[in-house]
Order: sequence, then structure tokens, then C-alpha cells
Amino acid sequence: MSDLGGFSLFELFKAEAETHCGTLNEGLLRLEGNPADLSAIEPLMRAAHSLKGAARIIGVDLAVRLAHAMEDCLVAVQKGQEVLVPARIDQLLQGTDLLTKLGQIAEAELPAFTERNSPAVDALVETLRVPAGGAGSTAPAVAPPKPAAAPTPPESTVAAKGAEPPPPPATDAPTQASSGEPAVDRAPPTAPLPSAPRVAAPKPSAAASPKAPPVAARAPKPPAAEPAPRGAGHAAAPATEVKTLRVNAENLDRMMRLAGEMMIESRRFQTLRESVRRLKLELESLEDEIDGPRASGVASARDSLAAIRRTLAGHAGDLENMFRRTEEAATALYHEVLGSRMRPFADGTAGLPRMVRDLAKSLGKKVRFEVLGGTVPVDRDILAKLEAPLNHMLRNCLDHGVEMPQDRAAAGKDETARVFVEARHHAGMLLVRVGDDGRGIDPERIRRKVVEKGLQNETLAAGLSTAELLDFLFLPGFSTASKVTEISGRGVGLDVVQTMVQETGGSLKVETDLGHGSTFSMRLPITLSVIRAAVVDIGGEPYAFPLSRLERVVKVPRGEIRPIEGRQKFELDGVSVGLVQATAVLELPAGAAAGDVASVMVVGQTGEWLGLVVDRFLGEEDLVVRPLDPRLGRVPHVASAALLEDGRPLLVVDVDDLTASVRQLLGEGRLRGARSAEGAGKRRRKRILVVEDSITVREVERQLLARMGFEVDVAVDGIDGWNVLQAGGYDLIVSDVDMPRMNGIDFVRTLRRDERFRKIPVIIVSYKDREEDRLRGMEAGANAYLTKGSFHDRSFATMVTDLIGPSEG
Amino acid sequence: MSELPVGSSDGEVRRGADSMRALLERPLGASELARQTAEVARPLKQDESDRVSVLLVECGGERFGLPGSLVRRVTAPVPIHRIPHRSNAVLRGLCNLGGHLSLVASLEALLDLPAATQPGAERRMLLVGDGAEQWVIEVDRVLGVARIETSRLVDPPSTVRAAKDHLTERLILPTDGSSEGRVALVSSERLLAGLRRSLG
Repeated sequence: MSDLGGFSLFELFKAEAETHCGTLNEGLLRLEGNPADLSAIEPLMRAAHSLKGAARIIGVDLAVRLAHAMEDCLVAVQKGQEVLVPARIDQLLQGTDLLTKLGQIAEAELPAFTERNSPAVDALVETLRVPAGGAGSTAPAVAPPKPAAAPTPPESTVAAKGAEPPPPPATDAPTQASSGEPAVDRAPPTAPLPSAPRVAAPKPSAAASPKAPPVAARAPKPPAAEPAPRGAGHAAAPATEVKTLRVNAENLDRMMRLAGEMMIESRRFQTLRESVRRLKLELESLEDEIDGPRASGVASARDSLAAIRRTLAGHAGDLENMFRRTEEAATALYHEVLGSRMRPFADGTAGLPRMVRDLAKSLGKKVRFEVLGGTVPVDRDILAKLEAPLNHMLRNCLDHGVEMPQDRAAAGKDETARVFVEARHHAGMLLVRVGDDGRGIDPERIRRKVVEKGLQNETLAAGLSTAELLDFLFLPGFSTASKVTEISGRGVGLDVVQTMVQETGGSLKVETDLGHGSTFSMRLPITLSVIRAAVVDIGGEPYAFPLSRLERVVKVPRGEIRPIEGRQKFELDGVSVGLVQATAVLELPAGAAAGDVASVMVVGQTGEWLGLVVDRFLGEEDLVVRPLDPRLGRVPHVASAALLEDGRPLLVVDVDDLTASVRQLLGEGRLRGARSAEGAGKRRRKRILVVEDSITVREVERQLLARMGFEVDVAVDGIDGWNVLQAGGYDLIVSDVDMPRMNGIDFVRTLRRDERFRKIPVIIVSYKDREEDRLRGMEAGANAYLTKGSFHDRSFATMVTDLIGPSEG
Repeated sequence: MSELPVGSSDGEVRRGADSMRALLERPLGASELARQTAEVARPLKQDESDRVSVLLVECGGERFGLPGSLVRRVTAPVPIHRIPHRSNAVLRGLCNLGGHLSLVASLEALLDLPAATQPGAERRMLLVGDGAEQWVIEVDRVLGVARIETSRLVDPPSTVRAAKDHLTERLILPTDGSSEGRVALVSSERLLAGLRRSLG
């Protein structure tokens, strides 16, 4: 116990409590589902026993008594002296909760915690001692034979029974560490690891440590610490709080080994340096010799020179090898460190089964909950961000999605509903889905609600597509629940999910099948900083297409490219796909058309494919993306930058943005219309840019403004709007708030930062009508904030003329 | 490049070190201590106040002086990546200098000088400015750092004829005082402002 690696005993207890309480929670839930499974009891007994031992070491009598009672109870069940009834499971869970709570407090709070919880613990211990249900054997006052696995360390006898609040530490070292530092023991995620992390710390009871062995699944590849290309996400860890992270032990071993290799390599440089220094001195004396009076000097100098040349040649070879090894080790170490950021998805879902169980119970619903893809590695930053959204989605699921057992039976379904959370990697993205087989979402109900809430009038609402209707679910304050409940339905929740997804640059989708359930899917980057990308040559320079946005890479014989209606096209899976030179979109000088086969990057959605012709396909790489220099502002078609393995810079293509431009080049989306010729000499009509992702609302706004005599251009989101804006000459901008890629708030902020657009009036039109939303819009720099209901009255039209006057002038 | 000790033999170093130690370890009286403290606290000026450090470079067939305080680093050229829709004559693109992505600008274009058709072997990249105003510029050759007496700096003629005149702060006179071979000393602020303008 002498080397505790700088952790106080209480910190170690906390780590143990977390592990064992996890085991208890999980096991009890399993037992609840299948009470006959006595094999599940063994690990629970061990967990309770270990907790008891650990609590004894730190001298928390309260926990010792509780864990002891729980252990006795479990032993009785295992021996068949008691039958595990649901009430008993509740009691045991209650005990687990108390122990979990104890494992979460700071050491200083211990006396207060003990005092506050003593009555509850005493009561619970009493209850646990009274046999529930089963054969009425006497309370097992004498502890049954302990499972062989857990000998308590000698210290336990010394510190036992002491209820004195501050745990008397057994050794000096840990106390120093714990008093020198605040009670928290955390290191920022990217910081070097503490020299003796928790994984390596010895345990009071070595055998009883079901602490998950490192998940063998090797983290896929480098995740990293650089900020994401877009998305505010990735806030650095709060500066004041120092965190301890659990790191995969294998990962840590590899890092240690690599760090050692690098140290050895760097020492070799030192000997080489010494040798070079000696050579330099020898050369100096050689010069003296040649310049000197002795004639024999030249011959011996020649010999010396030859010797020096040999040594130098050797050095050159050594240096080459050292350089290569050092570089390899450094690169591997880098990847390893990055890999240590990955945690299995299960780490972020441990609390969910319990939450679902408790919630289902309180709602009187029957639910079978599954976590799928627990081993899928997820960047720990993303894992942390997932916690709140998963909670909200599950609550929503249970409250709104899952029906009461009798309703399910009436509908011919299994009384027990299935609810799942699933993680998997798909096309270079992390896909997290939360789904149920409940009643599904009725789009018509949302449509009625939209009208009821005055968000749209009936005519407009009738034109909204199912996808557009489902988007309303993410509006703050929009709830379809027929009654407000404790659990959800207070109109908070799903907008949290959307905000998180947007921040990390992901996307969110709802699928629903009325009567059969619904699924919420979040598509998130696997990490916030590394992308898997196809690297290509465009105009002689490297560019990267994120694989997540790339449909396919194909080689098309030039003979198969034919002009149709003046446009280049080729056939892919029987579909005619329009082709554009990447250099043309990027406004780069056309590269030499190499060979008789064109490398084509196919982008866009199925059925709406577009092909970009690049010079050459160079391969796939994992890239650590870096934001572009902020002085550049937003660069059209470019999302971020990165470095190739050989150190050359490359640019990461913003595929969505590029696709939008390509469509325009191909004349497929007449969004911006031609406007060059008209208007010269005539009185100028005022121009308005409408930025709105819903086609329905966009059309309404466009027609309304066009009727007022304005010239109107439209854009489908913030980024598109920003690009259109570059053409200049707009007198007013009307923007929505919730849009993909760049939302309205960011859009307005961006243009307010730009000298050229600072003065253009902006009206935000949004469904969000809370005061805080309005303030957010105004703070970003909007001149007015209206809700979408304003189209029905005259307030929208009035505001437009208030800001820029009539359409001509 | 090298971190090896330069010059002096080991013996010299040792002798020097001994006398230095004797000097540094001798006891100081209170007044002496005060005097020495004042001495140490005094800004290092006496010899330096009338000299400025200038990096002399050759670019577009002409010689220039860049304020020594402006230049952070000199390196061999690295590949430059153009930035679509943004690169222009002055803003050439991005380069990776020591793991950091920097904006690269053409000094020739900024000064309106003919660009070298074939980059020579002596072409160098200079990292200039700092923080949010860091740039990489290329020059054909670095001639070296000179410490120029301020007496050799004169105001340029007020007639501005070429782009480079805009950026010129002072002219450096040759040591013989003749008007031939005067070298323009570029102003840090105006150079950075010019570079900034290239961002559009």
C-alpha cells in the first residue's frame, strides 16, 4: 500500500465504489429480468463484499454496515434461504444508490454526508435484515463463509469500526497528495497522463476487481485535440478543474513504451553530437598542421582527412536511421495518445438501464431496454456531450413513444415494449440511434399543433412535408404531449439534442412509422478533429473529401463522357450523372487532363448524384483537421485545412457547399437566377436575400416580397446565404434561425463581422418565439426578430418597408 | 543551425570560467550592491541606441532592408497551397512552417516588382509579424543581418513613384555616404497593412 501513485485513500475508495456500484446496478437489473439466474449473484456478492472492505479501510462505518447488510442479503439468496422478490431488488438498488452517492462526494463532505444519511442507512439495514418473502431463516448475524476471492488487507483491522469522520490514512504519501491538491483529481483530456493513473493503482482487495479489462477493440485511428472545422463544440476542459481520466491500460502501455523509445533515440543524438564536436576540433588542428611549417604535415593530414570523412559518412548513415526511427516512434506515440481519447460507447451508457427501469416503473410501462454497440469506440468529448441528449431522447421515448401495457396488448403488440440505444460507425461517422416500437409519431397531429400554436396558417401548414413537420419537434416549447408530465412534455429536451448535434457538426433525423415506433438518429463525427478522407489532386494541389460526404469514387473512361444538352454527363448505375471540373468550381486554372480515364468524385444524395472531375485520386488518409486562418473569413467550398504525411498542407473540401455550387453550374437549381443584363439604366429595384431551409416558408417569403415589388434571391442555409451574399448589392436580408450547416444566428454574426455587410439590415424570422431566442437574435446583430406567424398579419411587410422603404428608389 | 559551442578551445573556456567565478563570487558591500543593482536594472542602451537591426534581402532584383524585429524566422522554401477563390497576386496561399499553417504572401507582388521566373536556390521564406498578424513572405536571397547606425538612415523623398515607395520608411545610406546604392528600409506597419489588404 505504500505506492498509491499520489491518490488519497478516499479517492481510491471512490474509484472502487464507482466500479462496484456499476456491477451491482447492472447485476440487480439482470436479476430482476431473470430472478432464477443465480449465477448472476456471485459477482454481486463480491462487489458488496469489496465495498465493505474498502469502506472499512477508509473508516466509513455507515458504508461498512450497509455493504455488509447487502452482502448478507445476497448470500442468503444464493444459498436459497431467501427468494429475490422485486421489493428486495428495490431495497438493494436503494442501497447501491446510497453507496454510489458516497462515492461521488468530496472527502471534506464526509462528516455531513454521514450525519445526513445515517437514519436512512439504519432503516435500510434493518429492512435488509428482515428476510423478504422466502423461508424464514434467522437474520444471518454471523457472516457466511466469504467468497474466497476477497481477503481484506491488513490495514482493515487497524482502521476498523472507527466512525471518526476524516478517514485516517494508512500511509503518509497519499495524504500529502490529497492535501496538496484539491479533492478533485482530474487531468484535462489532452494533458499528459498522470504518472500513476488509476488503472495501475493497487486495490485493497485485488481479487475482487471486476473493473473492466481494457476493451480490446483498438481505437480506430487518431482522434485528436484540435478544434473542429466548424461548430463551436470542443470547449477546452474548464481550466480550474483537474480531471482524472480512465485510460485503456493497453493504450497506456504502448504510450509508455513509445515514450521510452523516443527518450533512448534522443540520447543517441547526444553521442552523435559529441562525436561531431570532436571532428570539428580535429579539423581545426588539421588546418593548423597544413598551415604549419612542417612539410610532413600534408601527408598525415591527408590520412586524418580520410579518417574524418569515414566517420562523417558513418554519422550520416546513423543520423538517417535515427531520424527515421525517431519519426516513426513520434508518429506512433502521437496516434497512441490520440487513441487514448477513445472510450467504449458503454462507458457513456452505464447509467441508462437504471434510468429507463425506474422511469418505466414510475410510468407503469413495461420496457425491455438494450444498449447495442457498447464496444464501439467514441471520442470522449463526444461521449460526454452525448449524455444529456441520450437522456432526453430516452425520456421522450418512454413518455411519448411507449404505450401502456394494456394499450399495447389491445394493438396486438407484446406488452413489453422494446427500447434501444445503439452506436455504430457508419461511413466514417458515428451513428447513435434511440428507438422504440411504440406508437410512433403522427405527422397530422404535429400539423394540427402547428396551426393551433399559430406557427403557420392552415394553408401553409397543409403544404408542409412529413420531414418538415417532424422538424417542429425540435422547436423549444413545442410539445405534442397531450398532458404535461413530470418526465418530459414540458417542451424542453429535444431542442437540447438538436443544439448538441449542430454544435458538433452532425445531423439529426427522425424516422417514424405510425403505430410501430420511431427512431431518432444522430450522425456525429467520430471525433471532433480527425476525419477519414479521400485525398485527391486538383490543379496540381492536394485536396481532401471527407468520406462521410462522399458517395463514391469512380474512374470513367473519357469515351463514356458525353455531352447532353450542352453538359458533360456519364452513366452510373443506369443514372445519368452531370460532370463538372473541380478546377472550374474552385476557380483554379484547369489542370492538364491526364490520361484517357477521368477520376470522378461522386457527391450528393442517391438519385441526385453529381460528379466532380479531379486530376488524380491519391488515396485515403486520416487527417487531423485544423481550422483555416481566421483572417481568411469563410472561404467558399473549403471547410478546413490539414497536413499530409509528408508535411504538405491540404485543404478539406466542404462537400455540401461544393455540391450546391455544382448544381448551380449545371443549372439544376435555379436559386439565384441570372440577373446580369437587366436593370442597367433602369431605376434600380431593391434586392432582398431570403435565407431559409424550409422550401415552403422560403416560397411564402419570396412571393410576399416579390409582390411588394422587390427583387428576391434565395439561399437554403447560412453558408449558401453567405456565398450568395458575396455577389453584393443586397439591401435587406431575411433569415431563418434553425438551418443546417450554418444557422441563422451564426450567419448574422458572420456578416456583422464583415465590413462589407455590417450595415445591411437583417430581419430574423423564426418559429422560436421565446424572449431569450429573440434576444439571441438581436444580440447577434439582427435589426428585427419576427415569428413566422407574422406573414399572416402585416407585421412582416411593415417591418420590411420600415427598414428599407418601398421597393424602388 | 548548429547548437555546438563556437570558437574557443576548452582551455580558454576553463580559464575564462575561473576568473568569471572569482568575479561573480566576490562579496559585495551595500553601496556596491545598490550600484550594481541600478546598473543591471538600467536598460541596455548605450551602444545600441544609435543602431537598428536590419535584415537585408534581395527580392525582385532589388535590395531591401526589413526591420530585424519584424522577422521571426528564416527557412528554406516549403510547398505553398493556393486557396480557392482567395489567392491573388499577393496572397499566394498556405504553407506549413514547423507544423503551423501560415498564410504566404508574395513580396514581389506587394512591391510591384517583377517576380523571379525561376526560383533560385537561395530563395528563402521569412516568417514575419506575430500573433494574429503572422505572415510568410518569400525573398530571392537573404544577405544577412546588419546593425545600421541611425545616422545612416534618412527620410525618403516625398515623391512616391512606385508601390515600393509606399512601404519605405527610411533609406539606408551606404557607409561612404554616396547617394548611389541606397537601400529602402521597409516599414513594419505598412508592410503588414499591405499584406492585410490582400485578404480582400
